[in-house]
Amino acid sequence: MKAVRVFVGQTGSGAVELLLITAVLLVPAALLLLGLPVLLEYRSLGDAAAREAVRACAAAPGPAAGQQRAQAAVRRMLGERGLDPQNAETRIDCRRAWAPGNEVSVRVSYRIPAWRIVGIGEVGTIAVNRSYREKIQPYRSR
Amino acid sequence: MKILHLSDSGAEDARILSCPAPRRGLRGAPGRRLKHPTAAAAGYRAGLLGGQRGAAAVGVLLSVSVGLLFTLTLVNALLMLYGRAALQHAADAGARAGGRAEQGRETAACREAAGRAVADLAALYANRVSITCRRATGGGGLVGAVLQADLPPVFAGLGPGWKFTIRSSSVRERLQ
Repeated sequence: MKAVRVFVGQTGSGAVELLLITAVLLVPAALLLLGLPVLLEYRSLGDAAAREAVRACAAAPGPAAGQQRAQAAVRRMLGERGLDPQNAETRIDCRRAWAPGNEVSVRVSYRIPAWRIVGIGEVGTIAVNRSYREKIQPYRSR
Repeated sequence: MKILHLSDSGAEDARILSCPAPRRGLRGAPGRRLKHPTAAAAGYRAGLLGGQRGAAAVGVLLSVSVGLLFTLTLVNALLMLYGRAALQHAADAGARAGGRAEQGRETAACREAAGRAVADLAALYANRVSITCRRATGGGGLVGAVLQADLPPVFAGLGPGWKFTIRSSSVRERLQ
């Protein structure tokens, strides 16, 4: 009687090891690695939105117009980069702080996918808060 | 020399493998090839390629090739992601420069600044990016930059290219 020789010895173990290492180590590591730049991009998006909002306020002719333009700038920047502006919360103190020489600050809070790979998908959400402040030109006319 | 090979079924399946010549390296008497005693004991038979001799080299070659292909594909993808971030920065820089430029020079200043940023940060992809700048109304006047990119994989053949459009806009600053 001939013995069944399946799983006897180490024949083919190299291929199995390669497959397991690829599936368990390499692919997750690659996915993690590919998600990091996207995360950083979302973070810099908040910086850009806050900076533009402050500039819009600083360049406006008055506090009311500045407040309005700053809010519009945040919505525009988030929309341009593919985030829904409705999900963002913005705190702008343009109406209170707008005056030559004063400092205007903006804080933008929004939720982003915790892990996202372009073209593949996304998982979970995390909150991001970014802020920026800028001094209005001290010698500008009101 | 006799070697017992025991399989799962126990003593009934035991085979006796004989090595008629004394072991001298891996070859015995001239013209007669012997099984390596250890390989024979482990149940390996000399096949087309003569047992497991050289298997480690083949294994290393295969794993290193797969690993290298994988790494290069990953590098391709990461370079494209870096390229996109650099182009986003270029669009922001262009729009900001256009917003600060004097009346009538907004779009030219925007194109210059964006082109400089692309050349500095993403020279690898510079000839695959087109830059368009425009003035827009709303929010007290805006300058917008649109970058259209068609990034090829740096290591050709490993992964697809990537086409995308990046937009950025900035408020126009006027002397008050």
